[in-house]
This record gives sequence, structure tokens and C-alpha cells, in this order.
Amino acid sequence: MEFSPALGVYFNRLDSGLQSAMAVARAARSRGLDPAVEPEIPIASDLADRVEALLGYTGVAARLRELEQQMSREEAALKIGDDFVKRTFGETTTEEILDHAIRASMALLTEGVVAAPTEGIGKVALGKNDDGTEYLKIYYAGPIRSAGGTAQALSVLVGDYVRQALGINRYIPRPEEVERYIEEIRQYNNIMSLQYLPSEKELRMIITNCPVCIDGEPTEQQEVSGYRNLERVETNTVRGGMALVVAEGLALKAPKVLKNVRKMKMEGWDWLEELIGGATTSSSDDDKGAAVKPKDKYLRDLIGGRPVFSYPMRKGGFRLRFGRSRNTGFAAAGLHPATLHILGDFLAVGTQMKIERPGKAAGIVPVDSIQGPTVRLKSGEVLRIDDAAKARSLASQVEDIIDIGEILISYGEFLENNHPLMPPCYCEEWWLQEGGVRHPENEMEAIEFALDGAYLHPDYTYLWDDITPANIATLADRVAESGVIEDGALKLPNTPDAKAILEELLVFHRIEGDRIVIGEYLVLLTCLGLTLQLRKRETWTDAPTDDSLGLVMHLSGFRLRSRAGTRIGGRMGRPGKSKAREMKPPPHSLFPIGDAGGSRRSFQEAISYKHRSNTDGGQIEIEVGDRRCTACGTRTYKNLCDCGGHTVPVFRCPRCERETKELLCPACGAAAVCLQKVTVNVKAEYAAALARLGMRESAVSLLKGVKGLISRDRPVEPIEKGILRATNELYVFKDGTSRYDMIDLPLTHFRPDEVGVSIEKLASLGYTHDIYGAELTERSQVLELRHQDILVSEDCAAWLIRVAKFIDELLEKFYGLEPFYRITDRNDLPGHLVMGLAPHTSAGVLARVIGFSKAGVGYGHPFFHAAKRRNCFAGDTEIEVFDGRAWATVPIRQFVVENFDISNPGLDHQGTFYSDPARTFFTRSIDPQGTVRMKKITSVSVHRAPAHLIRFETKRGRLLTVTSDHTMLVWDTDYLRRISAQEVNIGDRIPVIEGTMPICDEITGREIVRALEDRVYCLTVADTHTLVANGIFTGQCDGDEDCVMLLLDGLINFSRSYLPETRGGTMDAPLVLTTRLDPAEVDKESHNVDVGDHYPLEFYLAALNYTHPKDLDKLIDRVERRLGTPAQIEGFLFTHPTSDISAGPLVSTYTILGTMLEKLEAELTLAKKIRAVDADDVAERVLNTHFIRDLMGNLNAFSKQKLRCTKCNSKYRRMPLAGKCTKCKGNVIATVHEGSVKKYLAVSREICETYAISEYTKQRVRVIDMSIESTFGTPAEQQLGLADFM
Amino acid sequence: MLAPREIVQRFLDTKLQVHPDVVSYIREQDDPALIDRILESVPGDALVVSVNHIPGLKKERDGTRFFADPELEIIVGSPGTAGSVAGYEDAIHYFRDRYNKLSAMIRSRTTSMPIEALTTSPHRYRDQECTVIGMAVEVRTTAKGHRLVEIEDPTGTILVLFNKSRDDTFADAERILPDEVLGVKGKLSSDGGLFFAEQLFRPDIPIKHAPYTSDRPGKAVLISDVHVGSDTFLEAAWNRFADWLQDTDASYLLVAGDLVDGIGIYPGQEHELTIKNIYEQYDAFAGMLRDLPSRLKIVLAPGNHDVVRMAEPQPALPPEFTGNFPANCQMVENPCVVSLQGVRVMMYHGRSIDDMIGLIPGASYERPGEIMEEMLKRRLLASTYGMRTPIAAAKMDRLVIDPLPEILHTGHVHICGITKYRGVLGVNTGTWQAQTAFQKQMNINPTPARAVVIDLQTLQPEVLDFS
Repeated sequence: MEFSPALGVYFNRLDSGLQSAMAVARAARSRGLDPAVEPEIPIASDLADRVEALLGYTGVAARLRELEQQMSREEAALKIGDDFVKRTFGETTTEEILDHAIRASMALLTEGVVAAPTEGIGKVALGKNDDGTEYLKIYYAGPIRSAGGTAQALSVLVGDYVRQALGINRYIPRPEEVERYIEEIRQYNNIMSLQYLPSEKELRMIITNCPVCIDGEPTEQQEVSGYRNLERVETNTVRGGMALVVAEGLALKAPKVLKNVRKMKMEGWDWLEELIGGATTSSSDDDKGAAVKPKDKYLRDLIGGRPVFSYPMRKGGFRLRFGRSRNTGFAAAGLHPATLHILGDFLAVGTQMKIERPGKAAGIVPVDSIQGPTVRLKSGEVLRIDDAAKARSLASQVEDIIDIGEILISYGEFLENNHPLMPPCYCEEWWLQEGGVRHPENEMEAIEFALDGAYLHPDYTYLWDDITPANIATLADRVAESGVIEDGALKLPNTPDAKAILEELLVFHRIEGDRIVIGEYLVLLTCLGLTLQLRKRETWTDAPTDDSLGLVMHLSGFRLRSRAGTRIGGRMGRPGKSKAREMKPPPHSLFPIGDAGGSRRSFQEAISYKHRSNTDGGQIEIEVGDRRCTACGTRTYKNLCDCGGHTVPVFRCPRCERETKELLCPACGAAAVCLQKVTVNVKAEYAAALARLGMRESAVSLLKGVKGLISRDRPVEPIEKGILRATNELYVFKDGTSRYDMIDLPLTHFRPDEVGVSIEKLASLGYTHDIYGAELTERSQVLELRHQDILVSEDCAAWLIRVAKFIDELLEKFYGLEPFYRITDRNDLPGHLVMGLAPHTSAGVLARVIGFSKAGVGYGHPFFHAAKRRNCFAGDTEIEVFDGRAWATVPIRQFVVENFDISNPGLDHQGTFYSDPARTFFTRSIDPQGTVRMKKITSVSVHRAPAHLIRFETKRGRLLTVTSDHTMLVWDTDYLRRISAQEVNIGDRIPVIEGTMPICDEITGREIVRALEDRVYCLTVADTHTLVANGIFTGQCDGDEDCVMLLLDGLINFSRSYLPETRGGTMDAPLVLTTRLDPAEVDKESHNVDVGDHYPLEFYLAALNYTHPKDLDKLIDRVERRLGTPAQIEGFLFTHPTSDISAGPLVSTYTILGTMLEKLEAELTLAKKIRAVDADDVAERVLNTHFIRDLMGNLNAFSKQKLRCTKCNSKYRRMPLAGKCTKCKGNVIATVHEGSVKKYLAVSREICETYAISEYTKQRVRVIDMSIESTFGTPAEQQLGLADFM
Repeated sequence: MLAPREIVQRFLDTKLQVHPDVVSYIREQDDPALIDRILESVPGDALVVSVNHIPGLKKERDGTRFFADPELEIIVGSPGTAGSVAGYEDAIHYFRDRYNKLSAMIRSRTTSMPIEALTTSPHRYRDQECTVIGMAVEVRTTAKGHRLVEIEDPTGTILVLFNKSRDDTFADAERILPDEVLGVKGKLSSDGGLFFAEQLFRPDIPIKHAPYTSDRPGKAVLISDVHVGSDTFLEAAWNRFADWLQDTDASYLLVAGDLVDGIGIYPGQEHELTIKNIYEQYDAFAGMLRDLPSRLKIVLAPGNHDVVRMAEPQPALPPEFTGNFPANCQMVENPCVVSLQGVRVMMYHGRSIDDMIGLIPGASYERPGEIMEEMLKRRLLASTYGMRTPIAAAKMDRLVIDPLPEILHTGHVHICGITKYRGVLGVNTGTWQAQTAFQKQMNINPTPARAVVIDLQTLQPEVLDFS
């Protein structure tokens, strides 16, 4: 990695900081008080260091390659059968020959990547015909789908080929078996929808004639109803694999099969000719090229309370301005802070906004070098607000938001999202490149510059192309007829038409009495073709009437560009959250206290707990890990033996009590557990812990533990840690660490005055010079952010300080070491190291806190964000998807590319190029217990590939190539642990799919390979975040808020053995720590961040023509073009400055307002004000997509509702006859209540009355209202209206 | 206990066929001597032994009717009786009511004991044949293919195993639906944890049931699923039907739900409606009704497309929508029982058929008659709670088929089907809507534009096709 000496110094600082923390952590861990005696987060070494090759070929492969030289692949697949018949590869039995031959040729036909050859064929067996001869049965399983129709069909042919060679007779079906096939395939079609359902005649022909018996493993839940319990058909359950091979294989691909039959001169397949002629293909419907039409996709699924700011491409919406500020790019877009205030404070710094284009969503950040909103005040005055303070003070007087201002989007975003450039609004940086000299002082100067041949300066260009030529004529007439120039201002009567036109043009004016007063009128008059005497010039006589801008240019003689540019729609997305992570209920300590702690799991309650009334309190029975001291052999549950020795977990068979090191008991096969039931005097333990810490009992008012331990080893966390956390108001996460979640925003530069850190402090951290090379002396100088430095929110800083204090106390009082952090106030925090972690991933990234942001967000370098996530698949990885009608197996590359919704792509904070799939797809997914479920694919994504990928090979011959930090699933006793790919080793057992069942497979090969493509691909799967890739269950890409933890907290307190065995327990663990970010190895989406200080004129001109951003690649300075040089990481610039990255609202109104009613009220009030928003339509959309769905769904759920026991939480599908819980006699209560059904009823009614809602929607509300009333009865007289809730 | 095969064989030995009802009756009585008694009483010319030949068992005509009874009377389900759900506590009463009504029907044929008695003292009842009556909680198939059913009564729950090798009861066991009430005769396992079933009882229609028939002439026309407002409503066929009604001697028209297509029933419905206004849909229907002869007495029940709540029992259509309906219309709830000249018709729209088709092996939309038989055997219109059929669990279970009607009239699936089970006539009427896009996708082929005419004196149905 190339870097400058200055950066070398930086890296050394990080390294030494890490080393000193590691030293402390090692010292602390060596006391033996924790489950392990070493810090458990390994420091990741460079991937390239570990490149090794290990892949051999079997004899079959060599022979296949030989055959492929001579003939087509299909022929070779058949021909290889001869070798098997000759037993070249050591097969012994007939079944084995058949089995191996079929699998080998399947592998060849499917290019060895899909699961079909291994998993698609369950087994091969011989059956008995009624005449006593034998016939071949192939048992197809579900994954045969992955082979595709042709390979499926040919596998039958292969079977037949080998069968003939071995002299086995053909299959002679019995009549009832034929009928069974017909019934079953039709039933399968009802369940899963086949691509092609052959007619009854076709099916009959296939089954009676096919010389091989196509059998299958049961794959579905349903059973056939008619032809059950047949002698030669082993199951009554529907066999999906069989149905696929018959329908989508033999029937659909008959011509292909026939071709091979002819080539190989095989007999007994003549019936295929008769069959051919039924298959049809469907046409695809794609509409391309409409990139500049308004797109309202972002408005679908509108949620109540999240306002719409601008309708698609509507006048008054966000005007596109190209550029990047130091806090935008990388899926963040800039708005003027005044805009944020005027838009009701709904958009706080970092709030996500769903946008019309180029991507789907953008984090919103304040940029004050662009224009703010233009509003009409209640007084009638129209003005633009370019100042946040002014926006706040005027907010209450705003009557109408005529224009919501500019939005700053960088070129890189368009490139990332593959969206054509759009004409931007005319702006000064563009003007300056085509004749502009300097910012004009006043109107006169602007006119002078224009007369000199330059375009008219954007500040004096009104939005002429928003109005019609007729409007222009009207306005000119009004001014000419009744306007006067008085006191240096143009005054004209306040007529509605003139005022409306002026407002649309964004001509600033105020109202005096009944007259409109326009201060700056010279340009306006000129453009209207009026003289200073307010007479129409002669140019009016031959004025063009078709084009407004053309008309104005003709009238004025100036050259003009459009100030309107392209409008971009937007609505509020998900509000971000920034807070310490808490489990529910949040514990202070991972110490189990069972039910004795009450619902709060409190120690205080457990201490007074008496299981019998006449016993001492505090004696509780808990299930803990079974550990043994390495020094004296004592059996205990604590990490440290009383003799001072460290203890290790002991596994026993729960049945025969035998101690074992295996996962399963060697004697009886039961899963070994590390578990013992002990009676603990928690009162004494607690008192002893307090005594060791030198604390009084009164120091801790409430200490919360956990109910039970759910990890494999069940180690117990020392109570002392919990006590110290409780006194520092910290909660523990399931892995023993404390974390803080926050939204990540990109930042490349910062100013000392906005990060709340002194210049001296920054200098001591290495920030000695600003971007222009000047020494740092002023708090307003702009500094370039080091790529592993971050800014944390002030709340996070306070939290980090508490953690630091906790760690110091822990070191001092518990481990007997020197305190490490010694932080007394906030200024001590900068310079300390933290660990950044993206959710659902297992690799932390080392980072240094250098300052604070007032907004509740974390600012970090794009590389830092990008480093945290790039877990994906190589493009040829096969995945199985179900589109609601049929399953398909496709390479992930093809799936992602085909289903990437080009019209609406997005770029997220981590720099991933993603979109919703074009249609709804499902895939198989696995939960941590190993249950396979169908889950929806919620998005598809494309990532730039790192230089190296890891390829795994399994015992069952499956291959999977993933990025090194891809989340893999590994069996751990009886649940699936999520670990990163670089941690997966040979011998690890991973889940693979067999039929529809997950089974265990073993990693036999692990190879680091160069990435052949420059992209890797991934899907997002709902809920479980797992999917089947090449037949192997793995994790997938995830994206959400990131979190930080203090470095020493992770190093000392994190233990893998705390990680729960239960569902989702293993996600989000810092299993590895990346210490040094190499831009070449982070997610390469960050390489599209543009880092120049301007865009050239050619760029703007090209944008006017909707040029594709790829064609302008050379014009813009981007990270990608700097890779491999020291400049890849330093010397970045930006096009638009901003004075404060935390300007504008810091908390979204959405978060502040409590109830949905308040939010909705605020949303609709805002909608009425914004010109670019149709309030009635917003109201109707909210009704349709949120409220009515909720009402109907809940009402429906009410009449089908499940019940639950209040005591033991058992779930009931219906009320038990006993009327109470049949297990514990507890109370059984409803899960859906009247209140939750009616939640949105009053407000829906109110909306229907207040807004222009379509009759259809109104009636739907009315119908639901009546249904609710008839379900629950007429409510008591008093009907609360919307107003009653305000 | 006697196996069905043995019983049949005993009769075959004497060259007689035997009706399945007789076999099940003998099994229920568990009295081998009964066969001899029956054989004695069978007349020499009979080929098939029917229920009538069982000595001491006479078909009993159901119920007493009074001449003062009005021609058309709503026995159960007049408007306003469906009521609302006061709270989830009602669900206790709801399922208890179901259990009480249905278990009483079984209890009359066998002696049973509370489940609690079995589970608390298993040793006492080991190896002893006993009967329990319970409501099915959960049904599943074991790894070995046996059927495991958890049943409960107000005292406790127990797991019942139906062995797959007992083909006599296993076929019935495969059709056990959650929340139906069953009687099970069998033996407790040695550890008391499992009950091995030998015989299964359902509430069923009494074997001696004989339907009441009207003593004066009268005809009723049964239809359902008109779907006015849908773009697939078959107006021409309806007009042919209306014309035919002008000249017919039928005096009653019963419509079992889905009078109009409704609004907001499924996503995107607005694109498949010709009348998008729910009031106008009912007005259009009212217009159609006004064109029918006024002497006709019309009974209108709601369905899942109608404007009332989905949860069953569904209330009658509110006056807000029926203002323009002619005076000869009578709104009823869903389900309801109406008496036509003393002949009772139970009308039920049939939402539960969707659930039952999914749960009963071999059931199909094409044969709705079979589903109606299953309803009658269970004496339940909708067995399973919590699936597609929303149920408003009030204090009483209106979905229990009690009293027993002469005719069960359903709709919903758009496919015509007629069945007769132990004297009760089951009619699933078709629809007046052509195949919808959804049905096409689901490969459901409706039988539109059919009306079923029933002679109330003979209970003979006749299907008229107006398509």
C-alpha cells in the first residue's frame, strides 16, 4: 500500500495505541477472571499474505476434459458413462456405477457449480418390474431445480445410457403409477407453479414411454390424495424433484433431448418426436430509456408521519445542483440548513430521505453554500431564506413554500447508480466557467456582464421556463399597464395573476398596501422586454411564442440558462437512531439469576428470594457452565478457581454423564453440554463482589442480571463487572461488550470549530496543517480527515467517557491494574481508539475518535464506512430463487443484474450499489436453529470486489467463493454460528441443503484466489439474513446503523463463549479486528467518491444532454483514478464548502412528536404549505398504504388471533377449553386488542372528511368502520376526534 | 371390537350387501349379537341391509311443525342477533359452547370420561378400554406415518395416536380437523402419556334421521355469489334467470352471500370493478331484485364480499345499503336457519370451505358436495379457528349445525355441487360471475349461472343452467 510519510506516522500512532491497549488487555485477561486468559479478538493480518493454492483433480475430471476435446459437452456427459460401466474409477456395484455416472455427467452439464449433481439426485436404485426384470429408478430431490431443464432431462438420458450398457431392463409402469404421476405433477404445480405444466396426454406419454423410472424424494408438505400407498412409490408426499424433471425437463426440453438421442443413436426415445410441439416461451417486458420521466416509486408505501417534500419532478421541488461538499457523496446529499428548518425540522442531520433519483435514498446533511427555500410569508412577501437562524425565526410566518431549494448531489452518485446525468439548475460555478468574471455586485453589474456576452448570472435568472410564454406576456402587460417605479422599486397592483406569476418566477417582492413592491426590478424589466419607462420594447413584435426561455432571451437580448434545471422528488425515510445498545430487558451483567430476580432480573430481588418461607434468602438454583480448574482440578462454575487457577469448560453427555471432548457423546450419541445446576448463595456472592470492589451495598440501587445463560459454554461473567456497569449507567450486550449505535455519515474534511476540540489537541493528534498546507492556527481552517478517524455524537462521547470510566474502575478495582484512560472531561477523549462494527458482520475496524458532532450521527471517512462491509459472493455463485410461480437457479450475477431495478438504484452509507429487486422473489433461508424457511429477497446489491476472495470446497464437492469477511454459517453443536469467511477453517462443519432439508457438510478445501471479476454480488434476505448459495447456507450482506465500542472494552470484556446459542445470537460480534485500512481493499464503491475541487464546463454541458456518467469518467477526479498512489488516501478536495456539518435541526420532528396523530398532523400541515406537494394525494396515499392496511390487517387478525399465557408465555392458536394455560394454569390473554385494531380509525375518518379523498377510498374507510363497529359493538357515546388528541 | 371388514363379511356370508351406516352403527354399539338380530329381521327379498332393517331403529322424522308456522320464518340468524365481541374472554364461552353442544351429541351414543381422570390416574385405566370426548387442538403425522392428535376437554389434554395400520379408523383420523369435537375409544399407554385410539366418533347426523318435508306444494330457488359490480358479472345470464323466474311457480329465492363484489376485498380490486361505489353496487342489485316477481319471497345473506364484517357470524346487511331493496326481501345473517313451509334451510356462505379443502386429504374445489358432507359429519360449518375463516368468538357458537336442517345451502367456491347425506340435502350453488383472473391463476373453473330448484315436498333438487 502506497502512502506518504505523514500517513506512515498516522499508522504508527494507531498501531502503538492498539499495542498499548493490547498490553493492558493481556495483563487483565491473564488474571484468569474471564472465560479465556487472552483477549479474544484476533487482529486480522493481510489477506494477500496468506495466499496458498490447493486444488487437485480427480480422474473423472481429467477424463471428462479429454472427452470434451472430442465432442460437445452433452455428448461427453453421456459418453463418460462408458468409463463408469468399465469401472475405470473403482466403482464396485451396479448402483454405484449408475449413481456415479449420473452425478458425474450432471456435474459436467451444470459446470460443476450448482448443487444439482450432489444434492439434486437423492439416490439411484433398482426396482423390479412386474415381469421380474430390474429397472432403474433415479430419486430426484429439490435441488435438481438448480440444474436447469436441459441438464435435468439429460440426466435421465444418461441414466438410460448407462442402464442399457449394463443390460438393465426399462421401466414398465403400472397404470396406477401413471395416474399417480399425473395427479402429483398437477398438485405440485398448484403448490409451486411449474414453468410448464404438460397436458395430461403429454404426461401420460412421457411416463409410459420413459425407460427410466423418474422417482423423487418428498419435498413438499402436501400429500397426494388420490393414488396413495402404491407399492412401488415409497411416499405419499409430493415429490418436487420428480415433477421438475418430468415437466420442466423432459416435457419442456424434449427437442434438446431428442437431438442428443439422435447423436448418440440411442433407442427407445422415438416417442419424443410425438411429444415435441407444446412448449411455448413467454416474452419479456422491459421499458427502458425513460430515465427522465417522473418516477413516483419513492412515494409508494408512504407511511403516516413521514412527510413528502416534493412530488416527482414537480415545480417547486428540489432543484438539482451538482457537486460534493466535504460531508456529502457516498450516499449523502446536501440540503441547505434553512431548507431543513423550513421543512418542519423533519429532516435532521443524517435523516434518510427517499429520493426520486439518482439512487433510492440519501442521508441528508447540511450544506450552506447552496440555495435555501423560497417562501411566501403570511404578509405576502416572497423571499429566499439562505440562513438557518432566519429560517427558524420566520418558520411560523411561512404561508407557502414556493420552492424548497437546491439539493447537492455529486457526480459519483450518478456514476454509482448508473443514472444518466440530468440538467442541473444554473449555478455560479458553472457560470464562472463560461464567461462569468466574478460574482456580480448588483443588478447593474449582472446586466453588464450579460451584455458583455456572458450568460446572465444565475442569481438574476428567474425560473422563466416554469411559466408559459402567455404568462410572460400577461406579466409584461400588467407591468406596462399599471406598474410604476417609485423610491427605487417597481410597484404594481396586487392582482392574483401577477402575484402568482411573480411567485412562480421566484421574483422576490413584498406587499405594501395593495401593491406588490419589487426591489430589484432591472433584470426583470429587461427580461420582460420592457423599458425603464415600462413600455414594451419593439422586440415584442416578433417574439416567439413557443418557448419561454427563448422568448425571454429574445426580449432581453441576454443569453440565459435554465435556473429550474431538473427537479428531484423526495420524502422522509427512516429516522435514524443514535443510542446506546440495550437488550430487552437490558442487563448490567451476564450473571444468571433465573426467575428469582423477578421480571426485572434484579439481584436485589434475587437476594431476598426465598424458595421456601423458612429458609434464608438469596439461595437460588441456577444453570451455569461446568468448569474445572486447570491447577487443582476443582469443579466450579467460576472462571477463576478459589485456588487462583483458571478454569476451563467441561463437556459431558447429558444422558450418561460421561465427560467428552467431542460434540456428541461417543457412547450414546447425545449432544454434549457444558452445564451444571448449582445452588448459589447470591446474597453472599453479591456481598463478596461489593467487598472486593470496596463498595457499599447502597452504592448500587439496581443491578440487573440475565434470566439464564444461553451460550454453549455458559461461562458466568463476574458480578463485579455488572456492579461497575450499573454504577456507570451502562448496559451489557450479549457478547460482554457495551456498544453505541449510530448512523454513519461520510466526511472527508472538518473544521476545528465544528468538532468541539481545541487546536492544540488536534495538533497533538497530528492535524498540524490545513488542506492548503497552512499551519493550523484558526478554528475555521479546513482539515482533511484521516481515514480511520471518526467524529462521534456528543451523546456518544458522554457514553464513551462512562465506558472509559468503567474500564478504568474495572482495571483498578477488579484486575488490580493501573487505570488506562483517565478521562476526566470530554477533551480527554479525542485520540482514544474505538472499534467500529457494522451490524450482522463480524469484523471490527479500528478507529480513533478525534472530535464530536452536535448532530446525533457518527461522521467517518468514506473508506472507514466502506471497510466495514463487503461480504459478498462471486458472480458465478448459483442461488435459488422463487418468483411466486417457479423456482429458478441462476448465477447470482445474472440474478442481480437482471433484477436490479435500474430505474431506482441506491447507494448506501457503506457504498453498496443496491436496489429493490424488480419483482418479488423468495429464496430459501435458514434460521439459527437450522429450520429452512422461505424468505423474501428485499434487495439486490453489487459491490466492487476486493483483490482476493476465498474459495471453499466441501466434502460433498460444493464450491463457494466469497469475500474474506463474508458471513458464513458454521454448525456449533446444534445451532448455527455466524463467523466471517476468513475464520472458517478446514474441518468446520457447515450447513448445506439436501432436498429441502439442511444437513451438515464439512469444509475440505480453503483457497485464497484472486478475484477474476471486479464485482461481487449479494442479496438481502428478510429476517434471517441467510440464503443458499451453491447449495451452502451462508449469511448475506446486511446494512443498517453501525456501532462503536471502546477498544479496551472489546479487548477485555468480549468473549466468544458468551455468544448465545439461540436465534440471531451470533450476529454482531467483533470476531476479528482490522487495524489498517487499505483503500484498495475496502469496498470499492468508495472509489467513486469524487475528490476534485470543481467539475469542468464539459461536464455541465454534457449533463444538459443527459449524458451517461460513465462517458465523463475522465473529466472528474475520483478516488479510483488515484489508486495505487499516495494520493489515494490524501489530498482530497470538494466542490462546495459548508460552514458547519451540524447545522440545521439535530433531532427530527418525527422523533420528537409522540403519537402518530401528531406526526400525521404535522406531515399534512407541511404538505399543504409546499407547492411541490399535493396534500390530498399524500393523505390518500397514507390512508391506502398505511392506515387502511393496518386497520384491515388488525381487524382480520383479531378474528383469528392467537393467545398467550401471561405466566409461561406459551402460545395458543385458540382459547383452550379450560380457559387458562393448559401447561401452567396461567391466565391466557389476547394478542390483538380492540385498541390496536381501532388505532387509526378516528384519524382515518378525519382524513376522509378533511381532504379530497377519492370516493372509493372513503367508502373503504366507511366499510371498515362499520365492520369494526359490528365486531366490537357501538362504542360509548363520546367519539373522540382528531382534535381531542392534540 | 369388530372390524368393519368382519361385519361386512358376516353379511356377505348371507349374500347380503350392507350400507356403511349400518356397519358404523354396529361398531358403535359394539354388540356382535346385533348382526344376528339384524339378519333375522331382514326381509327375504332385500339385497342391501339398510338402516331401516335394524330392529328397534326407526327413522324418525325430525321435529314438530305447527300449522300456525308462517311460510317463511327465520329460526336462527335474524338481523341483529350476531352481536359483537365483548372481549377475548368470550372465546372461553365460545369454544365451551361448541364443546358442550357437540360432545352432547356424541355422549348420547357412548359413555365417556373426563380426560383429567385418565391423565391423573393412568394406572387405574391401563389396559382398559375407555372413551374420551375432546376438541382437537393439534393434528400431525408422526415420522412413522401415524396420526397424532392432541385433544382437550375442559379438564385436560391428551395425545391420541391413530395407528396407520388400523385402516378402519385411520382414514377417518386423516380427516381430523383442528377444533372439531371427537369421541375416541381406545386404551391408554402404559405410561399414561398416550392414548391409542381404536375407534373414532363424530357428532354426525343420527342414523335414524329422516328429514321433514313440506305437506303442501312449494318450491325454493337457491343461488349465491352474484357479485354485482364486478367486470365479470354475467348480466345476460342473470336476465335469463330473471325471465325464467317470472313464469316459475317457485315461491322462495335464497341467496347465500356475495350479493355484490364489494370494495377493497383484495388488492387492486378497483381495476376489476365496473361499479366502484359500494352503495351503487347494492342499488344495482336492488334494481335487479325489483325486476323479479313480487310474490317471490327473497332471503339475502351476506358473504365475504359484502359490506358487513368478515368475522362469522356475519350480521345481516344494514338498512343503509338495502334501502332500495323491494319489500319482499328478507335480510338474514350468515350463517342462518330459515324455515320454508317447515323445511329448514341452513344458509352459510362457505368461507370455511377454503380451509377445509386445504386440510382434508382429497378434498377439491371441484367437489364442494364432499365438503358439505364433512361439515355435516362434524356438525360444524367452520371447524378450524385462526385460518382463513375469521370468527367472532362470541358467547355462542353459531357455526355448530344445530338444529339439524333439511337443506344445507352454501356458496363461496363458485362451483355447483349437490350431495345428500343421511337425509340432509347439501347444495353448493354456483355463481353469477365468470372466471376471474384470480380463479384462472388458481385453476378454478367455476360453474356460473346455475340455480338450484328444490321441491319442498320431496326435497328433490333440480339444477337449471342459464349460461
